[in-house]
Amino acid sequence: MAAILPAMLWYAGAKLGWWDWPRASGPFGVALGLFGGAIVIFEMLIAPRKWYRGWRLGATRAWMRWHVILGFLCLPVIVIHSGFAFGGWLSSVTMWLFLIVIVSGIYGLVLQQWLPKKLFDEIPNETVAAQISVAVSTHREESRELVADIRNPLLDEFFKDTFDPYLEQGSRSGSLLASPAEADRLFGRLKAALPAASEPAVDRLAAAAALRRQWDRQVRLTWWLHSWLEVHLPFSVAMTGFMIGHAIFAMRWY
Amino acid sequence: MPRSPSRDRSDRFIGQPRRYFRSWNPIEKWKFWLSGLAVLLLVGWGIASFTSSSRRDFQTSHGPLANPHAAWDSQCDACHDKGGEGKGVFNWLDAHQKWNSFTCEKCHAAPVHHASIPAGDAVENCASCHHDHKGKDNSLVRMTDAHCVRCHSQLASTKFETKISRFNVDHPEFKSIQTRPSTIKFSHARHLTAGIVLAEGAKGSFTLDKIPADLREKYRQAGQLDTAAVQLDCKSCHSLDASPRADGKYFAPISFEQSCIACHATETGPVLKQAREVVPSSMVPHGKSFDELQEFAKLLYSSKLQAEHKSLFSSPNPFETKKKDDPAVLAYQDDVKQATDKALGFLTLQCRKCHELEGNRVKPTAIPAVWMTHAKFDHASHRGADCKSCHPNAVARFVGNDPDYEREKVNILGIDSCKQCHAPESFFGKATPGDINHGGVRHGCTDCHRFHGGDQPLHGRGSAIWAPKQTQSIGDLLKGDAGSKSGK
Repeated sequence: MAAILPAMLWYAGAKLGWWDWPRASGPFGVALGLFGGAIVIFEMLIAPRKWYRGWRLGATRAWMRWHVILGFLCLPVIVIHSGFAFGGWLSSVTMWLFLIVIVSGIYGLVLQQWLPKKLFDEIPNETVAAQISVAVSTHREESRELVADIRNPLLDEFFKDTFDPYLEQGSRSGSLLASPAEADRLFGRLKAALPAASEPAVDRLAAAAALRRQWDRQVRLTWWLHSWLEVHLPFSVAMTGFMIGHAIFAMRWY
Repeated sequence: MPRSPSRDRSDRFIGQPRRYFRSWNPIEKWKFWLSGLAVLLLVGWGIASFTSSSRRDFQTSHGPLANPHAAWDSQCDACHDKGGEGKGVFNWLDAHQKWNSFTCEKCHAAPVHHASIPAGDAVENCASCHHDHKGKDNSLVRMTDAHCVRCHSQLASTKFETKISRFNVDHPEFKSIQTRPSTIKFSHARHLTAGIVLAEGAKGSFTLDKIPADLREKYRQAGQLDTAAVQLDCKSCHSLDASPRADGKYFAPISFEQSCIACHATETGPVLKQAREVVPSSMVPHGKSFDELQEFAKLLYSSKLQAEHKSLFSSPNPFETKKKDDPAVLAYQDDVKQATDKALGFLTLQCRKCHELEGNRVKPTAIPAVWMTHAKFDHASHRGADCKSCHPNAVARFVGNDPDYEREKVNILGIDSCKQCHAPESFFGKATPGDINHGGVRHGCTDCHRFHGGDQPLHGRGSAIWAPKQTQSIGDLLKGDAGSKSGK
């Protein structure tokens, strides 16, 4: 806010003709451009910080906090540097990429404020997202052994046609077990049809199906939580490259 | 030793890859491949940019050039002097200075702002005000007030106003309308009154039939008979200069032959002898000096009065055969002199009707061709407004009781009439009639003033002082740098 307010005042005064638009190529404008460029380079360093997390280059939370703070600061700095104009082809492309990066970053930041708590609240049995398929295969194997021990044709048929496909593919299987209400109804009918001794086994199957539903939801929420990076990172890379090119051409360092 | 419960859980992953975080999930794969694509794009762009000077120049440009310069959009050295170097301690930061040396004068010339201001004191160079690279439709000549008030808000004492910050705030009243330079005697109020009379019901109303037939139609209002009183309006005398080389910004200067002669033809008056018209009244050209008029009348009467002196002119070459003191010669010469003197007296009265005289000399009328010489005004752009809106005394009025009615003040309203429209828009909504400072129409310095030629404000762009030092062929112009090569 401390940077946005002067930027807005500057814009208003220039719009009213009280003073000139800031000049991007003047010493102040170039200094702002270089400052903004330095911020961008710092922002980009968060990627290698993640790749080389074993090097212990400061706390992740601190990196992310400064990534966000400086990212916000960068917007008014670059807008003032631009002189409130897109300029030529190169500066326009750079600025548009920059704006996309900023918007996608803010979008990601909003999701990051909200989705982790939602995951925590709604997925008590959250696991490592990348290991869900491994965990599911374990559950499938245990369930298969459980059903084999009971040796009931009805349970065998339920396992083969309904339970195992759902455990394997989750909601993509189109199974009724994806719905908690339908799952309760199915497992209730199964209990009624099977001997009372099979009831604990059926309860374990029902628990496994409920876990699969949680993980399905975890997959969806995790996708929302991270997929914006598919935009944020590539556009950041492109923007950084064009920004360096813009600096080289603008200063004519060749 | 009993097994730990956690060992049971960890045993479930025996055979599974422990370093699962090394493998990428789909989101990470997309991030990688899209980022790789961005890198490839950058490499391709870099190669393309650095392998062609025009493409390199195109990348360097910080915006499209204005339409007049569009041909050099990818050719920096067409306008920028590559030898330009930055100055000062911030040189390494000052990209602007690297590009702040121009060769505008290859193609352009412009008179200085004021010759008394040392070059470079008012502005550093052309680009200090004429900002390009702001898009094809950007105007190179319309700039913000900040360019002007940088100096004009704090001028040292000069003949000009020393402090002007904004038109609608502290712009002074127009100086040129505060004094009346003209010596002409004329009353718009009387001339716009029907019949051009001094008082209501006065006799001697001027009717159309008193205007020569060949000029009458110009002054006839729709449906008027010849016996109707003449009713002039603005258009009767004033017309915009609409010639192909003018564009109606200003009204054409009033000329006697165009606007006055129909009613105020200059005549000698008849020569009478015992109530008999000996020589009829003759038209006299307007704008002649007293000596020219005297010569004109003398020649006229020398010829016309010969019929009155038949005895003298019955013999061939009377002035060679008769003595100078012959009574017939003296009588003829006396008649010519009397007629000439009478005509000159009559003509002088006619001159005095509209002009001031110094001895036998008519004072120059001193009606400026343009009243506000330091500003520009476009009448054609304002023709939707009634003339009276800005020239309030151009209305009919009986002026009989006003002894000074022919000494009109300058009939141009002051700055407040401009501010009705040319001021910031009202913050509280639409302006009401009579409001000033609320119109919302543009009101920048350059909307009325121009920078160049402050010492010769009436020099149009066709003036020689606007001509470049040299001209170039279209081919050389398009090459951009040809001029600098041949010009240096």
